[in-house]
Amino acid sequence: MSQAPQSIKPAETLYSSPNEAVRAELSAIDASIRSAALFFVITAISWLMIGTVFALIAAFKAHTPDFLGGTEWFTFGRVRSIHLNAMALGWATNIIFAVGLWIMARLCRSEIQHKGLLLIAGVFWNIGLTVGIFGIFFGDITSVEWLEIPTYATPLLAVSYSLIGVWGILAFRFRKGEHVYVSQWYILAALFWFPWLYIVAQFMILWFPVRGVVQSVTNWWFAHNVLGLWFTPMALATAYYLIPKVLGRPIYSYYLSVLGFWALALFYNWAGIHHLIGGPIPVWLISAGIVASVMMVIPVIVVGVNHHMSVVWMHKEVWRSPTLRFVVFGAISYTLVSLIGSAMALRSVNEITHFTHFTVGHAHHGVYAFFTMIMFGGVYYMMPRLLKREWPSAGLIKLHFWGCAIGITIMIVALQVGGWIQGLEMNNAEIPFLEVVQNTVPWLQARSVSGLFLTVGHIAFAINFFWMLFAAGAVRAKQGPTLLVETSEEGAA
Amino acid sequence: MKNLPLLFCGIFFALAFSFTGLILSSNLQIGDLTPTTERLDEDGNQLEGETLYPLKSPGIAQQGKQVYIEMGCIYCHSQQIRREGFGADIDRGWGARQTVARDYVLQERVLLGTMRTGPDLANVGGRFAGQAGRDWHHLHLFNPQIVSKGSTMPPFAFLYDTQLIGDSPSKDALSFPPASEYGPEEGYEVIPTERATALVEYLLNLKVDYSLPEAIIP
Amino acid sequence: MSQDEHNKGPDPDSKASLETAGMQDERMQDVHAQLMREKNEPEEGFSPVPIFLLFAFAALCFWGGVYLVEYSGDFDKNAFSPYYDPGAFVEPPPPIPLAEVGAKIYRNQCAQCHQATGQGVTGVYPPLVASAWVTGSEERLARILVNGLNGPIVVAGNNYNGNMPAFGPNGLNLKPREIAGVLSYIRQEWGNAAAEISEEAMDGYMDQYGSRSAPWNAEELLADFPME
Repeated sequence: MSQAPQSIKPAETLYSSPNEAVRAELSAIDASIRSAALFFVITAISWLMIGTVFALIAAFKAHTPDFLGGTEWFTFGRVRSIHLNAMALGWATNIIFAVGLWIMARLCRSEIQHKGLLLIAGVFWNIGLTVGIFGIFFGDITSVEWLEIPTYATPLLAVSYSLIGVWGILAFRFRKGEHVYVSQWYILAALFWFPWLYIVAQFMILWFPVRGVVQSVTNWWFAHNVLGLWFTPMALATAYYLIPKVLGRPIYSYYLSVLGFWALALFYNWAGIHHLIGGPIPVWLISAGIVASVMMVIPVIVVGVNHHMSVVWMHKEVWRSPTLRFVVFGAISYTLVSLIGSAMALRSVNEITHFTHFTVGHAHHGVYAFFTMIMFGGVYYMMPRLLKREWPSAGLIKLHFWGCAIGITIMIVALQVGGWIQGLEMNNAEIPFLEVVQNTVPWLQARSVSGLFLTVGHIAFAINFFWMLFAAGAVRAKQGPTLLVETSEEGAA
Repeated sequence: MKNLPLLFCGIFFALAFSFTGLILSSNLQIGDLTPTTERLDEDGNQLEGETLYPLKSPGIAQQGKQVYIEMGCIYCHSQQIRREGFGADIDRGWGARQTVARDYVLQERVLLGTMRTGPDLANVGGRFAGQAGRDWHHLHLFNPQIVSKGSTMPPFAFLYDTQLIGDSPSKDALSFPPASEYGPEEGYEVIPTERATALVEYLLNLKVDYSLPEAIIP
Repeated sequence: MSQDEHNKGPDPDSKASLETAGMQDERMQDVHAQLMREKNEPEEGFSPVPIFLLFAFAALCFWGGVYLVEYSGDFDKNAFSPYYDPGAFVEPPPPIPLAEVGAKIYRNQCAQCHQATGQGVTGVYPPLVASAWVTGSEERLARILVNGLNGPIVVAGNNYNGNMPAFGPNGLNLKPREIAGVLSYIRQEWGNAAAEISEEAMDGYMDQYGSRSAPWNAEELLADFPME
């Protein structure tokens, strides 16, 4: 609820109200993190576009195998792996560094120190990733899922990451204020967990490989925890920050937050074994993974209730605010994808869905409909505060939202319906395998169409972003933020 | 929750719990398995003089595995057979029994895979063998449409050389169907490169045609 | 956050204050407005956890415990099935009819070359449909399966020149019952109408030819068993 702009006080009496003092502090923190955050957002969006191009190539190849089929550099296995790594380490991790660290800085109420170090680490992260992606392209792909980057690039990634992580932990260590908000727990935990996961996986699978299927157990403990202990906590932290912040309302329940956090910490990291159900590992490992996957229902419901009760009766605000449209879409997707995931871990369901496109749809449901949509919301909130301007075009934001919402919905439905059918047919030995494959083609074509929608959304996003970044004179902090619905009242940002 | 040391302890032990419970304990339990005889005697010892399974694969097959890795075959093909009654793996003839941990102990990089865009390959050497097997694989790799019309597998023609036929055709030349749209031009022949040859040897060597004490072929 | 924390504000020497001083008035007003428009930093409410949720979670934990006890195979490293029970007596499965065995083997072992329709691939793999090689002499056909076939062959008027693998003991090692099944299948499928081959007959062929390691060629086979 803003009033007409207040007149600026002379320098002797700095702050007319506690409110102003808080805002000024936030502004100072934003200014201190600006260059680092901007760097990470720019790299994130660049990798998003690269990842999108390779996604389209992979999607077309899946139903039209001759497409770009003449060279080994563009062979499906490599193209698909470049897409995965560009999105996971390029888009997702860079945007986490931008939004997650910004939220951490704000909540810890500490201006960042040694900003140069953070930037250098970020530069090395992206250099390492670029080297790794080229490595995959030219054939040094490891063929270990989620760890395709060749070992000559990974130490650089591990070191850069650790530096950035240490920075986040130090910000927490030197925080001001008594209370520690739920987002801070999630960000702190994620910053600590990820290097442990990455270093163990690198050592035990690539550098000093353990024997036999212990590699697979380690692989899927790692890969699933990239989703569960890195992407998920960061997205939840972002949602927990933005929902109450934009609405001006507290989160429903501190107790639910605590329960949700510790239940996630306890159960999520055992769930990764569900990627190996039916596989050549002792059955107790598999059953443990299944139980953990189902127990995840607890933190998911808890977070869902917490978010829902924090948003209830304020749908108009949610629809109006670009930030909240994306964040709430993501939060709802979190509940949905996790419940489906828990179901997929049950043996009777897994018998059908394992090895099919259903799993691919599920993965995109999580990484895109949940994580990415929330992070888009984060960018929409953060950028005006970093640049002291507003988003140039509400139209482009709408195009972005609808492109992505429609695109990801088509993708999930196509892959999961097609994948379910594929699974049922694969389990019927009388249907020739070639026929099963041919029956998936229409669904894969629908997936390619969904990819076009997503591409449109991403292009709209990129245009809006770079316009805001470079055309400083054209876009100023107007009386109100860029909202998606015209309204007479001022309000949510 | 504002106490950093306590919070940190909780965060640490949350991951330490699964790290120990899954990674360290599985390494302890199955991290030192070795090949063994198909049956054990009453005391649970290996039978004297019997072959130890799984077998070591020949060098050229290991080179072929490197090609498999470089081409990213794992992203469409799995290498694990599920037990009878759970899925139709055995019904489809992908293997005679479930694969178990010991089947993979000699593999420096385990390629279990998680997608079956294409069929499972754990026992592909039990379906395509000998010269007939080589012929099929080369035609299939050069362009899957030749022997599997309508397949979505991409062509790997770049693993082959097209060359002028010399005084007599090379004995390694692929024999295409007559007037095939995928064959070379008149006067030319297609021969496999070293990488294609190695890859096919690797595929011919992927077999689960032996029993293990914990996994007996019925 | 306590009241005095609110008034502390940023360090007066920080860049932000200098920045503010350097801006134009109008721009400063816009920025100020944007800043003041922001709501407070988030806080948590203290609504209690709904009781029924706690009961539901307790029930889930109980389910988890039971599941683990039931399906962990005693944490045995040799347990690869959730129904692992080393002491149990397993009923041997009922014998599958010969025709079904044949159809299954064909689907899994033969169709990739001879195709599910039995049409083969022109110039590469001969058809089995309307082929005298299939519907003719039993023994000639059995030889091909047991030892394989190399070299040129004429089938239904067309030339083929390939390799057929051996399925006997020196090759892919199918059992006599399985070969009998698949041969019976191809002799009676796709409009072929020949007699099936019995398991006993196949046993006999296996004894006769099982030890031979060289594949046959068409000339040899036609010499011993001329085309009908």
